[in-house]
Amino acid sequence: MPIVLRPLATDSDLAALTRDIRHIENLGFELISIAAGHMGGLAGNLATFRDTTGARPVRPIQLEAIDGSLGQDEQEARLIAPGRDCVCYGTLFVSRTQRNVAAFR
Amino acid sequence: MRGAAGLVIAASLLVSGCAPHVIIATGTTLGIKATPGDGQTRPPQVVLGYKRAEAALIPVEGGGAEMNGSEVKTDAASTVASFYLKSQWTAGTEIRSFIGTGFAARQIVNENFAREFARAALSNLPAAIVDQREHLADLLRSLDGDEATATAVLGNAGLQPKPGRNAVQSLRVYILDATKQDDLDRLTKAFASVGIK
Repeated sequence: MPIVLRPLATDSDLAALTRDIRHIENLGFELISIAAGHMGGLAGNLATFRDTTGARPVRPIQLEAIDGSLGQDEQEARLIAPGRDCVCYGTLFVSRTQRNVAAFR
Repeated sequence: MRGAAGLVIAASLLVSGCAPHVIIATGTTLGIKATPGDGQTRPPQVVLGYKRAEAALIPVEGGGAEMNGSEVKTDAASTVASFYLKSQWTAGTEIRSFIGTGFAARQIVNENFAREFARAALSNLPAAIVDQREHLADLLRSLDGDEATATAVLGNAGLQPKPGRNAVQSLRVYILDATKQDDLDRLTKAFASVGIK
């Protein structure tokens, strides 16, 4: 299962990040995880994808910010949404601010 | 100038002894001349002059860079010299210059790389490029996993398979990384050369 790692802009808003991930998935990859970190002292977003052998995503990915000040149970409750699956949950720089972000499909 | 450079190199050789060392010298001359206008016929003028010379002696038979975790075992023969000028004319002028060798040089380059990497993020791609990438992905899907054709496309584009990936998977990554029109055109022509449009 070949994996690709690609950076995402840290100054993008959630809609732009969603659009970028959807574009990469349309090229034949599937989102596995998201993470914020630092590279060479600079803030960065990193998305990990797996090669889907070209298949298009069944449903488009949708990123949503979750309030990080909520308790663990409350955050978990936000990730359970009828009719869609949470692909991954992590931290991303959204408009240069770290946010807890869930990726739903 | 030539005499000064010779002095720097000779002094470095004395300090370094017989072991192979990197020697780097850099010099920058900068001049700014600002002339106020007279408010009538003579406009204000700013003239910027910039002259730069760099020289490096690098041993070609070094062992290369070697690190054990965060510990440097053998330094690399990497060098980098940078000069930065920022002037807002009346508000102030800022000058920075640095020289790095070995791992310091590599670190500086890595930081610049990371910055450029972030700038190249997808959000900055024009819509036409995004559309063309998705069209190429459709062309690749039309191969239906045909490795022989994918190998031919790679070859016609002058590309090598990526490590650990077959030809189809490699093409998919090349499409993902194609952010310049030249790269996209090359891939489009390579598909066309095997009859896929």
